[in-house]
Amino acid sequence: MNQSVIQAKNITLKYPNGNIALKDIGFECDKGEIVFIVGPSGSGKTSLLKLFMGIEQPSQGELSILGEKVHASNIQKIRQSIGPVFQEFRLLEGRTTLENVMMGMRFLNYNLKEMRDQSEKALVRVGLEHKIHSDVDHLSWGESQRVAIARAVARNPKLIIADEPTGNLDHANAINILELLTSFKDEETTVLITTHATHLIETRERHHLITMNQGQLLWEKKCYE
Amino acid sequence: MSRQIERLHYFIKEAITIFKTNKVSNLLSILSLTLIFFIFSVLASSREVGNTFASALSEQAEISVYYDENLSSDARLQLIDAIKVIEGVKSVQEISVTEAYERMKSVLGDDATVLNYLETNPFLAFLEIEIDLNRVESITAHIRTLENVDTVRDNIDILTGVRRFIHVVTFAFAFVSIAMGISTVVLTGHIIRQGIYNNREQITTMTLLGAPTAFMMIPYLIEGLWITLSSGLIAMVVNIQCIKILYSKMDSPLPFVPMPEMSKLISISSGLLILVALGLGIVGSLFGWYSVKEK
Repeated sequence: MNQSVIQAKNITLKYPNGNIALKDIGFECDKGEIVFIVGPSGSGKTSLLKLFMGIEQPSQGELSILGEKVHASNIQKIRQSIGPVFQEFRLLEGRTTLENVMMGMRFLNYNLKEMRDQSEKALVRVGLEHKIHSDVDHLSWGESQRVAIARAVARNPKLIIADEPTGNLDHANAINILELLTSFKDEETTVLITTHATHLIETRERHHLITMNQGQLLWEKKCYE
Repeated sequence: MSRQIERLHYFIKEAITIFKTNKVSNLLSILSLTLIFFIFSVLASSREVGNTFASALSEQAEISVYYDENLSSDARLQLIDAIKVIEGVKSVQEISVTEAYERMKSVLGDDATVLNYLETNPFLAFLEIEIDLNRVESITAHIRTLENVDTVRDNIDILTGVRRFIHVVTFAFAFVSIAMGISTVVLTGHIIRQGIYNNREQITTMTLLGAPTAFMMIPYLIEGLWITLSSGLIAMVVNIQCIKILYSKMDSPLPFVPMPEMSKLISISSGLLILVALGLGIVGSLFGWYSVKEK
């Protein structure tokens, strides 16, 4: 079971202006894990996610996602296998929740019925079955985050990456969203969440915790008991 | 419904959404392109009319050769034979003094009574020579060197004028075609760039979700095509109406001007216009997309 979904070997990310965002990072995430990447603002969490999403390329080191070495030539294929949940939601304005969820599947190998069925199922799973045809412009922040999660999971990704999914939410909503995201973990799906709210994960059992600070991996712990 | 049709439906819906995000500007662009395409269609039609006029003139290009009145019939036949062998001469016809008189009578019509006041037939016999218009200068020069030739009367000034007019129309057509091509590509490209700018968040999100470039590009291509084709179609309708009005007006005062068949003129100008609109729509959309992608 424990195949690597993310494999980072001595990764360094240096921006053209000379700033070093990440320095010598190395870790592995296995299939079916819940991985939390924590650290204060500016610790390098977002830079790490940029590497996972192929927005940036490592200056040094090697990064593999879902068994493929991340490279400009295969980044599109890798992105199609990931379910991203963005901090700022990135929903398409003026469209319904259903259209937004289906948007992540339009270019994949699904027909309209499959897309609709899977999107509706995902919206039911995130508790928005009553807002399927609502305009996303009229949703609350918590609901928008749920639509973003539904869009990420509707296409059955092998890896869900959520960037500060609780950042814009109150405590109760943040707990709910975290519960929701971790509920997608199964033997096939790895859920990776970045957050600076460590208090939200302290009580969680069975997770992989990566702590970062100033662009470096401070410590790593697998809490399986 | 097959997957391709489902996708096409989605692309068209997206193109309509993109169009609506900047509706007023896009509608004004359609209006501008319609005017550009209309000018193009007018010139395309003029060029066709000019070509028909020129080829009709070329086919009927004639010169008249006058000779010594007292020329013997043998010498006349020798002169005709000498003219016939000149390169570019199609036929030589002998016009007698009587025939020359009858022709003038026919040209004058109701005013032919004026000829009754003449005591004798003032017209001279001559040779009517049908020639290739492009060789008019060399033929007349050659004939002037022949023995017994008195005068060569050609309508070279008129023919040269017509040829010059056709050259001007052809040049204007080429110039307008280039100008129209550039302005349409730039205008369509600008519309696409504006659409991409307005939807940059959506494009970034789609890219991060793994959407292929072609998938994201197709709605913009459809938008560009829709804008140029609708402009082309409006220009075509206006052009057809103008052609119909022109033909109805030219019927009575200028019946002698050789015009192409109206249906032929409409098919040629309309077909050319739609093809050009289609081609420029594709080129303009691709130009708009790639000019943004490069940035």
